[in-house]
Amino acid sequence: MKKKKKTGLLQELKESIPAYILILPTIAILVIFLFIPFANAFRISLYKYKGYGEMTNYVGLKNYIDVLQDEQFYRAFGNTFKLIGCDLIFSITIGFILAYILFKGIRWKRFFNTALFIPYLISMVVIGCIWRIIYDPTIGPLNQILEMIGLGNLAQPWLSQVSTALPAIIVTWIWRTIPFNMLICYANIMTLPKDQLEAAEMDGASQFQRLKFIIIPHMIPTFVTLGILTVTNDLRAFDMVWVMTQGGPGGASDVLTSYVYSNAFMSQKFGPATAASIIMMVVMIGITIILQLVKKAGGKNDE
Amino acid sequence: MKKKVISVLLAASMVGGILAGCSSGETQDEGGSEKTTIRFLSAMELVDEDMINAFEEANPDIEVDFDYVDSGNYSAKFAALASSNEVPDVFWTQSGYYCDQINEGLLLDISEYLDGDNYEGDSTWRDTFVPALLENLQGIVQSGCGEMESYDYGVPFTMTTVAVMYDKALYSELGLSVPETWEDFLANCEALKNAGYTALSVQSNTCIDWMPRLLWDQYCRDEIEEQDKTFESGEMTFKTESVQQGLEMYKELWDKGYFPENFMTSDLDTTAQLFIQGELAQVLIAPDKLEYIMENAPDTMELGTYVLPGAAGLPSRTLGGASNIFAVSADTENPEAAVKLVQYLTSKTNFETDEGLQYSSSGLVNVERDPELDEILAGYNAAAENGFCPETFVPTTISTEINTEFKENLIPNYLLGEMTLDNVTTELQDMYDSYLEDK
Repeated sequence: MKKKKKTGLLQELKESIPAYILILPTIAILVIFLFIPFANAFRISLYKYKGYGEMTNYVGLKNYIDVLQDEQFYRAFGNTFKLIGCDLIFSITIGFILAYILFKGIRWKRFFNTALFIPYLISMVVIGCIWRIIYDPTIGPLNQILEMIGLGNLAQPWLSQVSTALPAIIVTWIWRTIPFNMLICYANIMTLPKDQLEAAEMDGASQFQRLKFIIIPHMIPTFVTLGILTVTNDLRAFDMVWVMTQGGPGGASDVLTSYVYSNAFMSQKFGPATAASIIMMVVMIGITIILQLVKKAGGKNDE
Repeated sequence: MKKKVISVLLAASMVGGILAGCSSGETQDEGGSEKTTIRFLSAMELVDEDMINAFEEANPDIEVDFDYVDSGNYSAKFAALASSNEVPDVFWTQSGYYCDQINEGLLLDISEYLDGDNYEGDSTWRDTFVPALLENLQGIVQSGCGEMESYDYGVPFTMTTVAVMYDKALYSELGLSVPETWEDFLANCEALKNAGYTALSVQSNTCIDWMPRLLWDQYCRDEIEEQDKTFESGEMTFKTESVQQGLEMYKELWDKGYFPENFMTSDLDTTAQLFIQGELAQVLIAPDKLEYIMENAPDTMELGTYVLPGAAGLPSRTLGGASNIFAVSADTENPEAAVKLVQYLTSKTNFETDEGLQYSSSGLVNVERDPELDEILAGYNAAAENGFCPETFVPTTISTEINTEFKENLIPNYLLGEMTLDNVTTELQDMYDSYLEDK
């Protein structure tokens, strides 16, 4: 009996060899491009290091302590979550409203469907450059329009003020992400069985009631998925922020990634920068786990 | 069984493909020609493909793999290359980075080459530079790296001076004259502001530290140069009254609204456009950044330059000097070709043939500029006459870390009222103390 079991295990292993060989390239890529760089980054985070030359100045966990005591780190941390929060609320909501309008049917639906998606097709860097010009206080069209319509008192140096730099970036960011949310919402609304809506209409349900009791409940799993995608995507926000303000003025619009980048590549403080990136990675993993648990719990409740 | 064999072969081919992709790519010279290829990284707009092509034409045995990065991203690019042991054979550098790079052993000692022939072969290379310029560069090494056997790890490319560019026509219209004193300068700024103009800016936000450095040259000169007080000995600190005075004056100019609203984010192009559009009345700018303004200024503009008057009434010295440096990697496999390129860049041949260099002060004793142009750019000559403010006077430029933190974080936050003067100077002093400890 025991021999039979052993033979079975061997047989199973033998049969699995092709599968192991098949995943070998993926594992190799992960090891080369993820695990080895991560181990190296962890090592750098324990040194005072300029990014070149020999790593000789071992400082232990000092870099982590410095980062955790750095006010700018918490500012960047807070800014990242302000960006995520606004993106979650406004981008998904507006995306859903636009999707619903398209679903209800409007004139030139196809045109709007395409036109509204265009911002998502433009690269972040290009969008950053365009909006940087739009926001420019002297040559930018935004202030000029405000002055033309008699709201000149609202004209201001949007990207050069502590109070407006981050909100200006957030508005641009949301403008960029709405089309994606709209498209996913639209695709999902289209899967809604039409007979449900027709039955509700025949039963005298109003437009709002159909939206509240049929469409939105149908959309909830999509909203959760979009939420997860938004959080994971926004935690990596960098290119647009960097092009528009480089995290300035004076770090007012720094997000976690720009904080890490400027520490590493502008100030050449690779130790604190890699320590911050490792802290950031831990936070990202934590948030992803929480979101997955929330999604799982939501799924169980549905069952 | 057949399926298994196919899957194993498939997997093996995938692994093989990946390994093949990882293998190093060796290039073969076409036609077996023996060209030496050198890599060149520059962050100077003045050095362009045309200049490189001219060099390659004159030196057919050398091929230059040219890479340009704007100065704002130079630090990132260089750090990435250096961390992967890919330092280019020849590269542009600046005082803050220069000393770090020497300390890390990344630069080749070129003193032997400097004492040899210049590019044209008609003089000693060292003798072709304006002596004060080379001294300025050696002084940077001495103050940043301490006593060394050689101070020749790079050569200056152009003599950078800083002067105020203005529109003479606008000055006449408002009844203003070129300021002789700091008070005159402030009065002009006020008049320009009241007339609806942005009174003053610097060429780009990466030069946001120019104004305090010029002010420190005035306020701290007596203590540092006459009384021989140094930051290294602790006799001078960032808390010293004269250092604080420089920052306070800067804040005063900001609070009076003389600088543009987009001062913190404005790059060179934006500043130049503001000036050309007539919204910005005066700009503190280096000659190597003048090309766009000179070539696009409307006919109604009458360009002129003047040297910024001394805030403490002392003779005005200018920033710059040897602020653009070309150096050769210590690890280059082709030092002769690399040095040849640097010799060409700093040669009479280059300055007399390249159109983009016409506005620059060459920093070479054997090159003369167009007299008409000299008249417009008289402010730069006047600025250089009183000499240069040492690059590391008040040591905010002594290391990349201090320099970046000062420009990116401390100045903006101080001007915007997000940070007190006390906090700014405390942070600067902490960073400087840490720098001294590491040194």
